[in-house]
Amino acid sequence: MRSTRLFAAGLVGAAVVTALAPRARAQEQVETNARTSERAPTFTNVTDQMLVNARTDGGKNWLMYGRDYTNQRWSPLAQVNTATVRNLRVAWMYQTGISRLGSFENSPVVVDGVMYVTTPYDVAMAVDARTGKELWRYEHKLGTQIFCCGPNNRGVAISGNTVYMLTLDAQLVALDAKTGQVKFSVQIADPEAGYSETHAPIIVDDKVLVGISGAEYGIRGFVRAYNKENGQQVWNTYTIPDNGWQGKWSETTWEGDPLHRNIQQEKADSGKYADAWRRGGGSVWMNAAVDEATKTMYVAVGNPSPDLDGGVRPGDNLYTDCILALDVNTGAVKWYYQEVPHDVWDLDATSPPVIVTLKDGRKAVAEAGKTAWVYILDAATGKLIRKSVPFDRQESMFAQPTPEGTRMLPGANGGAEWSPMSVNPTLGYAYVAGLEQPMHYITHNAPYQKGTLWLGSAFKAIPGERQYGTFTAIDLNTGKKAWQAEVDQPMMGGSLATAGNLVFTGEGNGRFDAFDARTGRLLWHFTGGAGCNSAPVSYMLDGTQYIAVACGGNFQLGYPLGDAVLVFSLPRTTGAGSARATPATRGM
Amino acid sequence: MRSRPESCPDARPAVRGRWSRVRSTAARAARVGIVMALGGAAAVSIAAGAPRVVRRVGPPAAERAAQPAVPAVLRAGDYWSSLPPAGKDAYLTGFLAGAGAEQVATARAGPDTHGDAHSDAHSDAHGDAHGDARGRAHVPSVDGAHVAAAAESLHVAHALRFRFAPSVYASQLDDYYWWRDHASTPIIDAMTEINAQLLAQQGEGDGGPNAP
Repeated sequence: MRSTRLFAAGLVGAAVVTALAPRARAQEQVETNARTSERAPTFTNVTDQMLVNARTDGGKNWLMYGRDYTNQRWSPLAQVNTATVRNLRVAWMYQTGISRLGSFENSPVVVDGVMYVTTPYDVAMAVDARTGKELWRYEHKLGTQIFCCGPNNRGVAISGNTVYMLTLDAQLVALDAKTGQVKFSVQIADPEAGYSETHAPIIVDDKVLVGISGAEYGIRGFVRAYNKENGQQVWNTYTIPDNGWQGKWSETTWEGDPLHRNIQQEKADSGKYADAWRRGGGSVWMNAAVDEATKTMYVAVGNPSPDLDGGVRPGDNLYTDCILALDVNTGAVKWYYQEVPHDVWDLDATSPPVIVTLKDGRKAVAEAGKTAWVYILDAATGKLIRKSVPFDRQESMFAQPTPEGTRMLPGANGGAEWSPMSVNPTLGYAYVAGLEQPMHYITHNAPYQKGTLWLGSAFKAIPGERQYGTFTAIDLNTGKKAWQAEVDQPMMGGSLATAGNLVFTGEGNGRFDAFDARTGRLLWHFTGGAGCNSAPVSYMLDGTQYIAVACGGNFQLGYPLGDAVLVFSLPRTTGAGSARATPATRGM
Repeated sequence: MRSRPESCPDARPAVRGRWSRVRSTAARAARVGIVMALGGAAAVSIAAGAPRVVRRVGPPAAERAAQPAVPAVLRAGDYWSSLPPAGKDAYLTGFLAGAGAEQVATARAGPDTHGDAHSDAHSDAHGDAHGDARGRAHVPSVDGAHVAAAAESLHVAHALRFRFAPSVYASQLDDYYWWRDHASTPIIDAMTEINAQLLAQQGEGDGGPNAP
């Protein structure tokens, strides 16, 4: 009897312990979370060496727009992988609370637990990267702003204890990384003359490297270096040379595609428009890639000005629509490669260049063009190694407009717009977010209508014609498509590739997707509400890998606007560092 | 016709002397011939009863009245497109200066635009207290220097209605008139529309294509 009572007591006790165990674990988890959230973030002094070694820091930080100087947007983290990604869930969400929405195109920079975010209309904030708690906020008091394609700010650069931001009113602002206080600001150019800034700067050694935008307003573009300590200008290189901008009078692209130009008429007019270079355009929309070993920076240069009327700017209009290689220390032009001479289709180079190493050991620069080709150039000489197969359809390339409208593919948005590629260096694949947007290129049209494309005019969507997006893996070593996924809407935003054999990208309908980097199979998605039209990032904290993306839509394509930064991780119950999957919990 | 090449200095004096005599003789003969010809022509004309030849300046009044005049304010797309780049810059520089002056004048104009001794609320910044020689009351000064100073103040305060650089408006007008159905739109209307779009980006006025 006594043994029976003891046995029963033991059973009851075991039952009580079992019943209480999940609560105890939950309680422990809550306490752990509480301890995590209470940990004050530290502000790390970002050294030059950290920036140089950003590629090899194990993935814990995201120190610049493209993660490292190559612009590959490649994270070596593999905790989130093809096996575990199905359990990915929102760890926290940060809503910026800005009063004016616009295209949210930011890629956050993350340094040892502090995330730096910028929003439309140039608000910058520091956020605890563990919890999303805001640490400080800087609201730039904008002066005159004339900008194209949305009030964008794509991100910051960081060096030492200073965060650097460019603004729509063409300023470079240096902020204290710990407090957001302004250290200094520099007026780069006159915003009333159409100059503006929308991209993230890059810091190399003691220099802040910036481009300029405004070609839609008749500026003369440039790339410039400022001293990062005091904002003094170090060098300036115009993207429109004062000599030779007429180039070689190319009848074709450099790869041989006919441009249907009237070279004879252009040459006849060249005297009349001899000073057109002064208003030649040549914006730099995105940040440079940098080869630290050779001290070379590579920039993509945008369209000439005026954008559509080539008759008043005869010649090839160098260096518009070019990949331009410059000496980081002096700004001297090392080489250039022009994708579209004398562009009248707005098929300019906007997506940032990426430095890659091919299987044969050659260092190359790759760029996804609006033309729907990925150009792969020798990094040392600028010679074309190969051009990829088109990642989007091409029809009537370089055709002239007509009153009835010439059907054109790619449309004026591309191809690839400003969206940065990501690269998986192991596979040798570049992942390109593309737009399938057939358009009519016409010589006259109805008057201005609110909400139309920013060009508003020459390029019109064709009623009844389907538009969609493509997400393509291009094998950089062959130029062929490794795989391609089709999505509902034209894509704009960019991607992130990881060592977990994943590639993340967002869509305008709010979906945030994870594809198998090898096969293109969709493994996970989350619906973020507003369009996820920015390039995601990844970082690691306390043994947990996070994936972060700004989901705030895109004005240019009319995707729903919002103000959220979504940050994902695997549930803690899977264990930090554990690669084992828990029972599947699909994304919401 | 050159008589001798300058590269023969030794021969120059003798040549000059000889050629001078020859030129003089020939010149005299030519002058006589011309006078005779003119006289002859005149004689013929008088004899024929032909009217005197009068130098005409421009078309006759009747022709001028028949030609439609295009006021400057109605110049439109074809005119804009015909201008060279320097002409466009000059046009817009003048336009912006005029718009600034008009804005200053409008700001200064009060309820009583005729200006008498009591309407001194809009007198110029320097307070010119001198009346004119006939003793009439002071009228607010609108001389150029003061208008320019006031316009500059507006410019510094980013308060000019047309506040952007000529190159900005030029490129926008080039795009605007690239559209053939815009060709008949007067430039001032196009400028107003473009300016509204640019101001919309500042959060002022109605939205444009890039407005949030």
